[in-house]
Amino acid sequence: MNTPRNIEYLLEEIITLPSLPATLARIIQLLNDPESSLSDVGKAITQDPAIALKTLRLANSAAYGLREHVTSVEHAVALLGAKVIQNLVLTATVFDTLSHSAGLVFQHSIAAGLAARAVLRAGPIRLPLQPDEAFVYGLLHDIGKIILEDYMAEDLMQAEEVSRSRRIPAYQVECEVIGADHAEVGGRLAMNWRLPESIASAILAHHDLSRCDNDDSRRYAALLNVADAMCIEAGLPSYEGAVVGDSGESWALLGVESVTIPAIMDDFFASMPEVQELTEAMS
Amino acid sequence: MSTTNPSSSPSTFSNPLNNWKQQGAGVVGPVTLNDGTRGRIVLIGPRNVPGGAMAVLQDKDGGPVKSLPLTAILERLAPADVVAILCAQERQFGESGLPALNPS
Repeated sequence: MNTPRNIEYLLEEIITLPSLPATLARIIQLLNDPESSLSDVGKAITQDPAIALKTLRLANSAAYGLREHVTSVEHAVALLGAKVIQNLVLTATVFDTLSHSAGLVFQHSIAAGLAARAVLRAGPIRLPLQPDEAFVYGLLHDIGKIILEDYMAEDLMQAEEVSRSRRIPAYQVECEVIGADHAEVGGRLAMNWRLPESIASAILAHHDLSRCDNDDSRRYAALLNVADAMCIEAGLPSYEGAVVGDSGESWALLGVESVTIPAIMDDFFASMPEVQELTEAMS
Repeated sequence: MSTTNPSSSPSTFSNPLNNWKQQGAGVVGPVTLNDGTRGRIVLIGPRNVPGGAMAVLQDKDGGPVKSLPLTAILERLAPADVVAILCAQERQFGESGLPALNPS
């Protein structure tokens, strides 16, 4: 009898999730320690040159809108504050760990981050998030796809082809072909890395809001769901021809009405130059 | 956070607004408003041109055909449909560098 493939089987037999990078673990520990200072955080980042460099590149990108060019991590920490720095380091570390095979998923992730940010900027919406935090949520939403590309590239490609030919969203075909979808894999990775619960559950549920057990969590997932849909409708890299899922429930959960959509889309379209800039900053 | 079976997800959906067709210099796609009124969206120019996106509608009870700018019917459209329309318009006529629409 064949063993049924599901997320548990994949994680036991096929996929080895990468461990939490030491730098990120240290930063999270420091930021949660009331006795540590921002200076301690800056020093911890500086001890990992690759992460420090990417953090600085991100801090100087248009996405963060600093008026002055920062050349030291300590300076960036002082200007941007603990929460933003945590998100910057999280982003830099995740993509430093995973980007060896990220390819076009990487560009899609950046575009989804910009889309999520545009939704927050047009506010008010029913989420206690700042636009730059929303950007990080969008950036991380497809980390499971990067893992699947590493371990199951042929299956993933087959799922995408079936999705296009049958005109159903790719994540649904992933469940049939692979045994789990990229959202489940990404959610597990985020949980293993002890990323904030709101990020982990949003990644897990961004294609299926019923995976969340309360409305607050569902709204975070809804933000990623609409950001993903915006990118697919915009025909952005790697998703040309992809089938968009129904984002109606997500827009309703966020409390965004149709009359607000033009402002959101104007912001999103205007941010397209940032896709290239941020791709280079994190490469 | 629950981990329900993903295959039970209810959303099997293909947005009808993906069915854009080239008609002359414009692009046309079907649309259904929130109240069930059916019609077409006609894209003929970029966002900053008045009338760049028009809706051609006929009431459910068969009244005269009306032609209205997209901005006049936003409240009668689902947010996801507005996203689809604006993306199609930007891809066809905009300058933000999005991939071309390639209507059938």
